Amino acid sequence: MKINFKCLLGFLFVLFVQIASAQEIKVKGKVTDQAGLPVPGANVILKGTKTVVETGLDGDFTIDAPKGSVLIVTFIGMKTTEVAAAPTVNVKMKDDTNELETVLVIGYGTTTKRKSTDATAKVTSKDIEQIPVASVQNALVGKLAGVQITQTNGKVEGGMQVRVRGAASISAGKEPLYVLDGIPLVTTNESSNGAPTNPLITLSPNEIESIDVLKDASSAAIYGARGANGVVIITTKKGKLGKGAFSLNFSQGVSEATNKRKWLNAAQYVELFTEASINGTGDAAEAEDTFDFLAQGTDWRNLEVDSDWQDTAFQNGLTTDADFSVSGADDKTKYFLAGAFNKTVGIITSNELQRITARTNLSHQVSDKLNVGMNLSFSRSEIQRVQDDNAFTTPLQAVAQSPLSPIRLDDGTANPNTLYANYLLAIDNSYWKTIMRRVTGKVFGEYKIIPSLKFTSDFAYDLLSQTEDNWNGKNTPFMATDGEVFASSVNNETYIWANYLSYDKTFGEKHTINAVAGMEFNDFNRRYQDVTSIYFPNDNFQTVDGGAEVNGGSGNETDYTFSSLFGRVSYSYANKYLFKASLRRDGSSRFGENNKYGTFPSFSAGWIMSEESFLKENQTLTFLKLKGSWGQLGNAEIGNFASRQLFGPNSYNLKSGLTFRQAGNPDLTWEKSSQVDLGFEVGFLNRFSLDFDYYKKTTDGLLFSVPLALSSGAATINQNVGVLESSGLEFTVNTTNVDTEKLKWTTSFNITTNQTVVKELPNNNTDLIGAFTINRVDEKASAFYLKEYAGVDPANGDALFYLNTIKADGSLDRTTTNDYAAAQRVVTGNPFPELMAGLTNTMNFSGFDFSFTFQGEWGASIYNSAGIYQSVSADYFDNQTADQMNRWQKAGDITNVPQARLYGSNGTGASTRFLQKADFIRLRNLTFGYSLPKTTLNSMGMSNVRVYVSGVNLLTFTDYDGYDPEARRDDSGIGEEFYSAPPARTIALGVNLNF
Amino acid sequence: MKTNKFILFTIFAAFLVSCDSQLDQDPRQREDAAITLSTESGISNILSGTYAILADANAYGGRVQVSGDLLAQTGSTTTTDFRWRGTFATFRQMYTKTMLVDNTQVRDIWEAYYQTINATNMVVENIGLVQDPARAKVMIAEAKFLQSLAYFDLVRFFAKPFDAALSANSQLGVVVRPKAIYDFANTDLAKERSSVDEVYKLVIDGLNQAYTDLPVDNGFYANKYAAKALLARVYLQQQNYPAALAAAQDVIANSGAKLSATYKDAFNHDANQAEDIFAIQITKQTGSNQLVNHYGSEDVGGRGGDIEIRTTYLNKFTDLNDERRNFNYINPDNGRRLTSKYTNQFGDVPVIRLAEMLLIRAECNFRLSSTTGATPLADINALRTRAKATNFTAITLNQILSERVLELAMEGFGVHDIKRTKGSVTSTIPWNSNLLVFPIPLRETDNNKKITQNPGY
Repeated sequence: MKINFKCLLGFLFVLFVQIASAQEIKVKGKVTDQAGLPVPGANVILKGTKTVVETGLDGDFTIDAPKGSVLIVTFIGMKTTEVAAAPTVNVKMKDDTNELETVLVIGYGTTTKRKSTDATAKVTSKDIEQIPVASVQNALVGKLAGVQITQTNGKVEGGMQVRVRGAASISAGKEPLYVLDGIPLVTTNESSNGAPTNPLITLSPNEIESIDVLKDASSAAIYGARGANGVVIITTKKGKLGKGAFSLNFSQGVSEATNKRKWLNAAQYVELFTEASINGTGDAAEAEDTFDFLAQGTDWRNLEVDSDWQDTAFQNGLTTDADFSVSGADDKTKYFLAGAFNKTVGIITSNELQRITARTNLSHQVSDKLNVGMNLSFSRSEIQRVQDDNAFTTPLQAVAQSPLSPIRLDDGTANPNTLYANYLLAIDNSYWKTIMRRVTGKVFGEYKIIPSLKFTSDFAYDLLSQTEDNWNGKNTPFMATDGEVFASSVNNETYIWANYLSYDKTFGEKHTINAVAGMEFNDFNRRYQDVTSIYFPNDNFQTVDGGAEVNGGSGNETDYTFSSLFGRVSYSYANKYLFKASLRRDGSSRFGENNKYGTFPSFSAGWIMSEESFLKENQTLTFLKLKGSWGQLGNAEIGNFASRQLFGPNSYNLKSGLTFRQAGNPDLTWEKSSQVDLGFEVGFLNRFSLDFDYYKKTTDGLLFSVPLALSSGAATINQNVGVLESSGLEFTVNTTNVDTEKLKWTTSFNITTNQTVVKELPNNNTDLIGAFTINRVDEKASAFYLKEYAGVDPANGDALFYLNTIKADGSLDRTTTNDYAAAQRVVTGNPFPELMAGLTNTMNFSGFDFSFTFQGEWGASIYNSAGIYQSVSADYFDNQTADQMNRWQKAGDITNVPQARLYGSNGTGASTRFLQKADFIRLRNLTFGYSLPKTTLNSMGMSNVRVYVSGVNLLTFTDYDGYDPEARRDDSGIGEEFYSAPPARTIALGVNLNF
Repeated sequence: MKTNKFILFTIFAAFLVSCDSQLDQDPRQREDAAITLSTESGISNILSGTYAILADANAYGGRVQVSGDLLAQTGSTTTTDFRWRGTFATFRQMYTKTMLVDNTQVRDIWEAYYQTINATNMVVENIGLVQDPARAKVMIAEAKFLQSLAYFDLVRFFAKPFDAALSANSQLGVVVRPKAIYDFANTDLAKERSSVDEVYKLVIDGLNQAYTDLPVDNGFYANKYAAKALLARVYLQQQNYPAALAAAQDVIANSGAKLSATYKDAFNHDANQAEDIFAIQITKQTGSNQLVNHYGSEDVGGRGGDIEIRTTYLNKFTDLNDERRNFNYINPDNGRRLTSKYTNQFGDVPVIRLAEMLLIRAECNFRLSSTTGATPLADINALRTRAKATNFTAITLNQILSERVLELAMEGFGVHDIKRTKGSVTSTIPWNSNLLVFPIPLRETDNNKKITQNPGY
């Protein structure tokens, strides 16, 4: 798709009509905001009287006022302003910096920050727009206390990990529930190639008004069995009262990898492997024989070829973002229409995303009592993908190739005779195209039964339809069938019907009650099919039909349902004492027969001390609230049929067969998570605010895929055993450092700690041991569990390990050994960060705006599971990281790299040799903008024109030696790196137009 | 107001009733075990599913054979018969005798065989659901055959070798599961290994029962003579030459199997041929031929030749025209010499060929100085004639054992023959070296607290 931008702009200019007003009465005025945009619907009050007028769509008003009188202008979200009456008045309203009146969306209703007893975090559109990243989640990084957001690696469609206050689970789902305008979204990863795709890549950030994250039990309990990992509530934009506002944004950027690693060049390669061959096999013959093969007839002795394979795997990325919206409202109808186009050419060879999205949000006040509306969006995301990190033909595995191997032959085709299959054969002769199509919409009606009681009915539908087309031509590596085509198609559909009553009333001035009660039904269906065909006439045939034989196919379907009742009551007395209780009862098809229904309560209370008489007049301490909550949540992300004992098809020689597939556990149920939250919010001088929360989340009945003795015939069983405790502190500080007419400077700083510790495990607290990790009681969840590398024996160059056997006195034997088998594994490091921080500064100075966000994480380690190939003193012919040149060579050498021994397995076993701390601080994004002066614009008929430059991942400070402290392998594993692409560093230039 | 409330209440009530009935959902691609285990078709499908387990990559899809041969290699380029050139660290560890307890290939072989064992136990224990007693008998026999195959490979790979010179082979064998396990939630699954003697007894008893009850013709499933042929192999491994001889003789005389006309014809079939006594069936849809994957060039669907034939092996042939010596090709992509035994990506994986029975009969007759069925010389010359190699005029035991290597190389016999003949891989790795025994997988020792690890790990 191409957007012809010049045409579009020209068209818009022609359409533009400058509205001039020229009326003359006593007081004629115009109310604008700080950016100079008109404020319609503001109240203009003649001070001391009951005379009120409302501003019109252009922010204009006229009022009769006696000479010398004062006008008071009020508008929600703006500071109340007073002006002296005069024939012409221009009122510029300031944004109300008092964040206490911020509206928080909490599920089936809203509240304000002042009156909330919950722990939630919020960002609004202005925090996330214009950051040149394709996914919404990526724009949130560093901006939400207690929420860790990591993109698995640098592929444009890469899966996202979002952890709200640490993981509440070990083996069940850990991702929060996403709710868009009340619709629990389908978030199934539908990738078939091993690496996950981000199902929310289909959302365009320009549609989003705000994102509220419900972190504690008090807020999330209204989502019951699905709330344990937190809830992310996405609210899309609505039309605001006023004439139609047209907004246009266009940006274009370039990107590159944040980091590249240093590998051996040809000279170093020959030197190291010749030495390794002599040490490992007795002579140089083995290495030279292999060099001959690798060099493919080129003269390796004179280093004729010196290939930089890493360089071929990366490319310069390009991002293009164009979006527009039209919105407005009169007193009956609100409308918001938006469309967006995004094209992101990734930093990995042949990785690309192209997305179009559109949305319309419409509501109409049919009568005083009835309001109806519909939100509808569709999007199409086409992604050119590469293989998962574990595939030989994924571009980044090219770093394993020898620098002696030519990359391409003289005729330009990829060199087919390399150590590992040359990924360029795959790039040249295959593609993997994924298209995600999404339609999300809801119709709703709100009926006011009496002024304080409202009935809401929502019917919503969400469809994620994904197809994948994988063509492999004749010359793809490992191809013996003249080509192969795989095509899949999957539909994830969910519909939700929710009906609830909301009651909102204040009695006798002091008692305010806010209540909601209702039901919700959610039905999900996933239908999948794929087909593979082989033997193609030639490479021009790239669809299934071209194949002579259809040799594989599959089709399957699965469902789940939830049927729920919920209720919530908030009560406040004199705006001082706040109480809230909520309850949800969920039934689900996922739960075992004996445990079909779960009930999830929560209670919270708050005390706004600054409303008490002894603080009320305090000019310094302007706000103080204490709050506390307790509640229970569930985690139903246990798979659709995890409790059942199942056989599955396993055919033999085209005859049907059945094989045992899942050990059953009829008592299986959701994970129960109880959470306590204690906190306070304090504000000084209305300019400085501090939010503090302590939380402790205890998840009981953890779902475990408990490993069984393989000799039983089954590998694992799902059990609800175990307790996980996640606790920590969250601080958020917001300050307004300078607030003058010319300069406004605000700072937001957040810091979060998290410790997730295993408290109880199945089989009498038996350790659960994964590939490189362990879950052990009183240790961090999924902590690394490895033999401990002890460096190199200076005498003989052997790799050493600490024995770490337990001595009679219970202490660890720290003797070193060169016998890998003798060394014992120890718990050593956490795959998850224990401290996270974000710092955002925003400055506005006469037309200029400048903001930047730093993000930091501390405490996590990364295990490079490719280390045994790439940093092992030339154990095999994989190209090595440059640091392997520091190998031990002669007695007395002090180094950390053992003697190079080809096939010698000198220190190649999994150990802490390949584990490293991944602490980092990163300049996550920086935006610098300039808005043209209003006077210039008015003559052009525009309300705002801003040009900006924005960057992502501009600077990274870390001691980590791998690609990037945020890059993890995308096919499996916890806290592992495996040829994982670093994220992109992007710089984009853009322009916003509003008229 | 009242009307409104009434309408709302009605909607709520009606809706909730209808929704709750929708909470019952069943999986569509899986079946509750309770259903599978209560029908005749369920049981019979479990049996055919067990063949499918064995046809998996990690068992008789070929990686069991690859493992047996890689363990027998010296691991040194200059002396090895077959050089491992692939990138799988798991196989490289076998090749260089540096296996670690977390070797995933070792783990996957262990897992596939124990899946087989539990599935076959389920068939045996639920056979009452099969209405036809004759059919039930055959099904039990097939289950016993598959189970014996699994235990035999387990004990060969994971235990110190059987030595007939010992009065008892009481060294640790493998875990024996005499009963099917259904309830994994409430059963103590920890178990120590039984002795090698006990495991062999189980294998032999199972095969004898299979032999008794299996029909001569059972399609592509295991038949009477598959059981007997495997029994011959088991007895040979135990150095029980009279029993091995009798079993091999029975197969040769009565199974109807015949040597293929040419050596080439013995391989790369889509269906069983005259020489096949038992083969794992591979189709484009089911099973996975890993022998082609590891031994084949890219052009035949392999990985380009993970395992390369060295001149050390070719030099073992005394006759340059021996077709078996020349049954290979050079991969044009990388110059590696690769065997022609595995060039059909979707071809069957041979498990027992008649040629092996002739070699067993010849060896046993020679050792026992008997001529049951034929003289050792005649049996060996039958194979040489087929391969167009010059016949011997007289024969020694070494020549017979050497003929096994010429005939059966790369079919998985390597390390097992070294162990039973008390040979050696290198001067420092004798037949009973710890390095030739798989470690008990870490995954098992982590979760089976009663099991003992093998020495040296």
